[in-house]
Amino acid sequence: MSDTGSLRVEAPRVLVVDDGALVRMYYRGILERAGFVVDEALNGIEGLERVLGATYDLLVVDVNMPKMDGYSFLRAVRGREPPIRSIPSLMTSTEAADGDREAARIAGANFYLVKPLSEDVLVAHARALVGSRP
Amino acid sequence: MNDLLEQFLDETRELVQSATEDLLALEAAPDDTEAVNRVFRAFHTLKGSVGLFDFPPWFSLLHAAEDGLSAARAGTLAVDAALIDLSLETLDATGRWADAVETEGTLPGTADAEGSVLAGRYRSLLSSGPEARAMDASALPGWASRLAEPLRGVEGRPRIAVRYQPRSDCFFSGDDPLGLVRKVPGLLAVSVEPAAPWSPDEEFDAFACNLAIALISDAPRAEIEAVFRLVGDQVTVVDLPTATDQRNASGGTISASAPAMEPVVAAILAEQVRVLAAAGEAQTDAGRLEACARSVMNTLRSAGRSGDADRCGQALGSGPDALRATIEAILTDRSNAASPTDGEEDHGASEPLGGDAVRTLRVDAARVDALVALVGELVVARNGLGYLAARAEAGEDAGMLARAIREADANIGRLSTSLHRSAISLRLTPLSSVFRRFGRQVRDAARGLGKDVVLVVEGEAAEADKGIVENLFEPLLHVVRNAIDHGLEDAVNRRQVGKPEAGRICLAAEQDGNGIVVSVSDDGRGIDPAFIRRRVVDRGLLQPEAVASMDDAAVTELIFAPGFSTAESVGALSGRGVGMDAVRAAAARMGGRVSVESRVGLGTTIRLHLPQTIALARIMVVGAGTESYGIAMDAVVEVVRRPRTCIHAVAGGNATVLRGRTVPVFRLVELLGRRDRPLDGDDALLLVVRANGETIAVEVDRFEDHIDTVVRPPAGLVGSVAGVGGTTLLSDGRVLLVLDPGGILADASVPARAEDR
Amino acid sequence: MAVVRRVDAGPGTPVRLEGVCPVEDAETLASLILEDPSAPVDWTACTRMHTAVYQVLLRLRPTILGTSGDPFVGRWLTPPSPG
Repeated sequence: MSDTGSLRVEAPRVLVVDDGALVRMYYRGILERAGFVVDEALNGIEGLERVLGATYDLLVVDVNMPKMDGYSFLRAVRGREPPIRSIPSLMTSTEAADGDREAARIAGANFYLVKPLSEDVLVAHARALVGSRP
Repeated sequence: MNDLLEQFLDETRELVQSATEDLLALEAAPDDTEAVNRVFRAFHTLKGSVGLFDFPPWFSLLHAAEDGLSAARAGTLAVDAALIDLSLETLDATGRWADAVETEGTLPGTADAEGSVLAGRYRSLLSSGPEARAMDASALPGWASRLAEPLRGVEGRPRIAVRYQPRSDCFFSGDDPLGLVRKVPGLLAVSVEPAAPWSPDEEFDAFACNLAIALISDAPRAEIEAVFRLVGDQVTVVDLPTATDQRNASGGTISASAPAMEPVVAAILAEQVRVLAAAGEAQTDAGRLEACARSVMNTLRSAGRSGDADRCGQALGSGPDALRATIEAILTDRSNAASPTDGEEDHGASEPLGGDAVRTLRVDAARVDALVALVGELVVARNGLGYLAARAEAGEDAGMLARAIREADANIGRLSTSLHRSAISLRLTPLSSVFRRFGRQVRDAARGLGKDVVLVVEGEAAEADKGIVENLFEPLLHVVRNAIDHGLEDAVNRRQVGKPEAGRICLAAEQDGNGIVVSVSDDGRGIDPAFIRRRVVDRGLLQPEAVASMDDAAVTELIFAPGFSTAESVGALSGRGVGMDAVRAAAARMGGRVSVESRVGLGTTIRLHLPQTIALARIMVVGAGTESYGIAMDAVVEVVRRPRTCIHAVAGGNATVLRGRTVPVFRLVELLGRRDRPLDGDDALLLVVRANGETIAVEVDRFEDHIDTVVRPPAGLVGSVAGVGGTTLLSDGRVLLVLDPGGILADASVPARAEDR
Repeated sequence: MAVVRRVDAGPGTPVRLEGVCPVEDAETLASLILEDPSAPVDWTACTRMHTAVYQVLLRLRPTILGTSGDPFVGRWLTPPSPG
C-alpha cells in the first residue's frame, strides 16, 4: 500500500466483445457497477472497428462468435501497432478443456475464464488487468 | 439486475417455445438434422443464460441436456422418442422454473431432485449410446458429470475433473498411471474404466494399457496439472461448475499454504508465464509480449506491488524469456509480499428481485421508427402554433387567423390520430406466439386420451394487442382440450362413419373489421341440439317452453351459459360442455364474445370474437343521481325517451315495448345498488343497450357528453366492483367509471331474461 | 518382493497378492486367472498395486477376497465385480 502514485485515476474503459445480448448486458451491469466505462461489440469485426476507434484498457472477449471469433479478433489486435496490440484481454468461454485454453494463449489472451462468470470473479480479474485497486 | 433477469426470462420462454416446436418436428422427422441443430443451439443458449445466474440444479440439468443433444447432433445418440420426451420434459421444467424465478425469485424446492433425475436420464441415454465415450472435449463431458454426480450439493472448494487416458504402451515406458493419480492432492472421486471395449480373453495383453481414469479433486488446478505435466497430452482437465466454484476459480497457481499474494494476482501472473511459453505466431509475438507485460504490471500495481511491476517493466526490454523469468521469480518469491489486501467485494447475496416483475414488450424497430417520425411531425406542427400566436400578436385579421388556426388544428388532429394508431400498433403481437404453444398441448392431450390428432394452424400472422394475445391461451386451451376430449370421436367410431382415423383440429385467426376472430374447429361428432335442450331443462336453466321456442343455433349457444356444465364429466354424448362459460367470461373480459357453430356428425367451430386493439373508445357519459358514468357507445343501440306509463311491471322486473319487441328495463341507479331514489319526471330516459346478445333498456337520469377516450382496465379497488369495465380520465381530471353492460347484467337472473325472449 | 503366488495347487485355490505388486506381476496374474477362472484373488496383503495389475483384475473380473491392502486402491477403487 506504500505506492499509490501509479494508480489510474480516470475510469478504465473496457470493450466487451460477445454475440450474446444477455451476456453483454450482464457484463455491462457488473462492470459499470465496478466503475468501468463499457462499450460493446457483437463480434470480432465490430470489435476491431471499436478498438481502432477508441482507447481501451481491457478487452473482454468471447470465443464463439459469428463472423469473426474471439481468437481471430485477438490475433488481429495483437498484430496491430502499439499501444493497441498491448491491450490486456480476458477471454471467456463455456469450454474448459486445455486445448481451448492453449488456443487462447496462442491468440494472445491474458486470462481465460470459463463461463458462467460470477460478478466477483469478473470484477477481480478486470480490475487487476487494468491496474485498479481491488 | 432486474433488467437482466427480465430479459433472461423472456429469452428463456422463447427458447423453450422454439425448442419445443423443433422437438415436435423431430418426432415426425427424426432425420431433420437442421432441427437437431436448432434444438441443440437452443439448449446451449439456455444453458449459457442460466449460467449467468445462480441456479445450480438448472444449470446442471441443461448441461446434461446439452451433452445429450450434442451427441444426437454428432450422430452418436439416436433421436428417438426417449430423447425427445426427455427433452420436452426438460423444457417443461425449464418453463416452470422460469415462472418460479419470476414470481418467487428462486427455483422451486423440488428443482434439485427433479433436475438430477432428468440429468440422470440424459446420462443413461448417453452411456447406453454406441459411442458414449467418444466425446471428451465438450464443456462438461459425460464422464465428468457422471463422476461429479454423487458430489453434487456438497459444498466445498472449486473442483477440477481430470480424465487421463494413458497411451497403450505406457507400461513399457515405465509409467504407472495410478501412481500419478495417487499423487493428486484433494482427491474426491476416482473411476477406472476400460478406454475401449476389451479384446477377447485369449488376446488379452496384460502390458497394453486400455484404461481411462477419471478423477475429481478440489485442489488448485495448477497443482493437479503439475502432477500430470509429463503426460499432458493424455490428460483432459475440466473445471466443474459448482455453486461455489466462482469465487476462487482462478486461484489455480497458488498452493493452499501460499502466503500473502492474492489468488487472482498469482493466477494472472502464472497465466502470463503460460502465454509467453505458448507457441505464438511471428506477427503477433510483439503484441503478445507487450500485452503480457502490461497485464502483469497492471496486476501487480493493483496489488500495491509497484516495485515488482517495475522489475517486469525492465525485463520486458530484454525479451520474453527475461520477462518470464522475472514473473516466475515474483511468483516464487512470495516472502516479500506486500501486506495482504482485502480484495473481497461486498457482493452479498444476489439483488432482491423487487416486487412485481416489470412487463416488457418486444417491438419491431420499424414501428418505433414510424412513431418517432410522427412525433417529429408533431413537433413541427406545434412550432406552427407559435408562428400563429405571433401573427395574432401582430394584429392580423381575425378571419385569416381563424382559418389558419383551423388548418393547424386539423393537422395536429390528424397527427395525433396517427400517433395514437402508431402507438397502439406497438402493442400488436402476432397470434403465432400463442398458437405455437398448441403443438405441444394438442400432442399431450391427444396422447393422454389415446387419440390421433392432426393440428392445423391458419392465420397465425394476424395481430392483436399484446394484452389480448397473452390472455388468449387459457380460454383457447380450454376449447382445444374440449374439442379433443369430447368433440373428436375415437378411432373406431371415426372409421365406422367413414372419417379419417386421425381427428383434425384447426386453430385459425383472421382479421374481422377492427377485430379478430380466433376459432377452434374440429371434425368430430358435433353438438346435438336435442341433448342441449334436455340438459338445459334438466338443470333448470330454462323452462321447457322457452327452450322449445328457440332454434337449434340459439340452443347450441347455450353451452356457454353459466351452470350448463359442471366440473363432473359430461360424458361422451355431450360433445361439448366443460367450462365453456369460463371461455365466454374470458372473452368478455377482453372485450369480446364467443359463438359456436356445429353440425351433427361433421364437427364444431368455436369462435372468439375479440377486439384487435385497446383503441380509443367512444364513451357516452350519463348521469345517475349525483354521479356520472361512462358507457361504451358500441353497446348503445339507441337513446329514447318513453313515458313512464309505457313501462310495465313484469315478472322479475320492468319492461317496455320498443319497435314491437319487449325489452326489459333496468334503472341504472338500481343496477348500481341504490334503490332508494323515487322516480321523478313523467318521461324516462332510456339507453337501449345490447349486451351478451340481449337487448335491454337502461334508464338514466341525464345524458352529459360524448367523449373519445382510452379506457383503462379496472385496477385497484375499482377492479373488484361488478359491472365496471374500466376507467378513464375526464378532461377536468375526474376519474370516470366506465360501465360494462354485460357485467352489470350478470347479476340479473337468467330466467327473467329468458322469459323476455 | 514375492508377489503373486499360488499357495497350493488345487483348482479354486485363491491367488494371493502380497506386498508391492509391480508391473511384471500383471502377466503372471493374468495367466493364473486364465488357467483357473474359478480361482478367487486375495488382495488383502497387497500393499501397493501397479496399474497393470489392477487392469488385469478389471479385465478378467475374478472373485476378489477382502479389502485391498493398498490404501489407495482400497479407498478409491471399487473391487472389480466378478463377471
